[in-house]
Amino acid sequence: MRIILMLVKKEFYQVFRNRLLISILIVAPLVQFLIFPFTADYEIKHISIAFWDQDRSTLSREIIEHFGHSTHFIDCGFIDSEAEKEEALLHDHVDFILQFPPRFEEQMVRGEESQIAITANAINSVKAGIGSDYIKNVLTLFFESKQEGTPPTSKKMTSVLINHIHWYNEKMNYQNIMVPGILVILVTLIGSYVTALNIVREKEIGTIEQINVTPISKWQFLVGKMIPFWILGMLEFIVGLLLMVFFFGISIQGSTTSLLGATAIYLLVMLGLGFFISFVSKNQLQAMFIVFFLFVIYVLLSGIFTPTEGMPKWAKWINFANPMSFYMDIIKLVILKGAGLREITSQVIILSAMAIGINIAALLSYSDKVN
Amino acid sequence: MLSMPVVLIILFGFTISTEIPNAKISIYDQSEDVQSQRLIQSLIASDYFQVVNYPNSEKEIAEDFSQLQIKAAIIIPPQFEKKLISEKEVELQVINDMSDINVASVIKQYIETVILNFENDINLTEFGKTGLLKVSIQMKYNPELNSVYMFVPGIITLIMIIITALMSSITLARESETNTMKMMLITPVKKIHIVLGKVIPYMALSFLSTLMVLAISVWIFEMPIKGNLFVLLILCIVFMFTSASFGLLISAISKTQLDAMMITMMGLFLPTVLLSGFLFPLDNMPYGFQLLANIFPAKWFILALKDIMIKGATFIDIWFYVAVLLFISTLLTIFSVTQIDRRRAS
Repeated sequence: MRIILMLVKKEFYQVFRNRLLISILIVAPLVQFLIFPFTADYEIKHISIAFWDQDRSTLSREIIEHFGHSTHFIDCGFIDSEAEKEEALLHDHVDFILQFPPRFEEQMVRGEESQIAITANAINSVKAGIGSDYIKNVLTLFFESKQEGTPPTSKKMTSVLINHIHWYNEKMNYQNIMVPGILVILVTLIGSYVTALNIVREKEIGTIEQINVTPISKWQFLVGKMIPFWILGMLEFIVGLLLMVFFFGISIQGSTTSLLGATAIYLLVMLGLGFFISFVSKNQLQAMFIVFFLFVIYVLLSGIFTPTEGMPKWAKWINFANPMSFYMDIIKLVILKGAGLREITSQVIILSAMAIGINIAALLSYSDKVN
Repeated sequence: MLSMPVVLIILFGFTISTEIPNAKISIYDQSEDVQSQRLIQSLIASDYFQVVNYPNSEKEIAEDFSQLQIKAAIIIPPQFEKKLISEKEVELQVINDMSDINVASVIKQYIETVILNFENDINLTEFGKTGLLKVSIQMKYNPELNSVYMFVPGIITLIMIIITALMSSITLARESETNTMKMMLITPVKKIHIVLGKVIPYMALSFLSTLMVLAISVWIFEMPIKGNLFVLLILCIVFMFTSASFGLLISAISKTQLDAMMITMMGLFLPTVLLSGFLFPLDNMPYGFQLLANIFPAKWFILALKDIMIKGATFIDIWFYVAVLLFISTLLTIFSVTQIDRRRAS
């Protein structure tokens, strides 16, 4: 026990003297908390639209004005020719162009058929789809309101309103999901990056050989490494949690104890992964490459940035070996949905199994190296 | 090393997507009449959804969320048909699972699309609005509404940045780490030649990987190349120079290879993912971030790539983007070379 305590003490000295590790511990979380929550939002909010009014009548002007009242659209002015239209679309000045044919009003008044042409810049397919539906809707509603002015007819128009109710995140705030996501990224970074770099450094400067010739056993060495980084990881997580609650105003709906417990286990998985990577890589650079590569795959598959639903089958299978996605599940369930230990049991069991497996693998590969 | 771009593009290309096929939903039909049936049919027919349950109370909806993992629940109010015919407005309730906001915002858009279509449909058939007004819609550049058109250019950019900037920053940092840079600087070789000699081999490698990435995007992800292939390649070479000059800058300000890698990841890769506009629309961001996005070359390159590959633009259409890229890379190269100069002086 005394040996382990000495090792832990040594480790803390080492960490606080290493500029790179300190910068990962302090700068990385700051950058993430400052940038992610404000940028990661891909809901379509602004649709820009330009008008090509070949009619220049009262009716067409009224319609254009009507678009100005809608909150979805940004009016990007007028165009006058086919060339200008091409140009506006080519250079992404507008998303939609609405074109009124000549004699538009005349035709409508006379009861003849007339056609409004919409041209969409469809590279962003989702925007093109939803935008053209909005436009059709604005047009329908416009003609409905026009009709009300005329003598009453039996024919009325109706509109179906959608009342969106937001469960689990009432304010529908992107930060509410991004901030817990950042917590996951933080714990992962500390766990795997920092440990991997630290041990490989010992290898690079040869201190690991010195430890190997002392009576310190392998497991004592590993535990001595694990405890300090585990403490650092938990500290970082708690600081992140406090920031989340007091700065971003996101309260933890579920049980905080089970959240901390699950994080403790997840950290063990990541620490084990860090050990394993450090034992199989030759220098810090290589370790960093491997961790980065795994990290990118984990993040992509965990659904923090993009939905996982649209991924192919094989990606979903890989996800079963992705501890981050299980941990992300836990975080979401506890923080946003108010789950307790009962709801997250299966994830916790899987993470525990992963923790045991990866740490045994690390211990074995370490013994391999020593012999 | 050349296998890395291939692995990356296949991984990114298949996993970065905002489409959600067959989203599970529940429908709580409180009116069970002709029109509500019609609405349900149009929801099913839209191919966006898979209706997994028809609950009969709010409590059952809550159970569907926790047990069946539905993404949304739609509540059709009582007397839907009557209200639809006689009242001006009918309100549908849609309950969204906002704990996964990425999924929820896509699902919301799907639902809105279907409902809007339904509404236009009703007005047409029920109210005899055979419509003097016809609306024609042309989906320009992407008539099949393919979602890869949006993502693949961004992915190409990411991979080029990783390969070019990372490789050049690390090798240059290595030279200064092992002090071979100092040795070269005291020889009569000019600084600019040292830098070029260092960068050009990696440019050649990057160019090779760019070609592979382009080939995969065309063959596997079915991206078109509507514009001139020659112009596209020139654009790629310009962007490689810009990325390499970022690599140069990073190596000039970092002392070790590790520092270089950290700075590339945090200072270049991350902003490229977040601020290039390919994943998250720039106009949703605070103004400061929108301004910041202009400094990073990715935004300009993605715009130019889309113009050439999808819109079939010519060089005249994209000259501005190319000029911006060249400007950024010239500025960075000059700065880095003076930085190296200062190091020689010290």
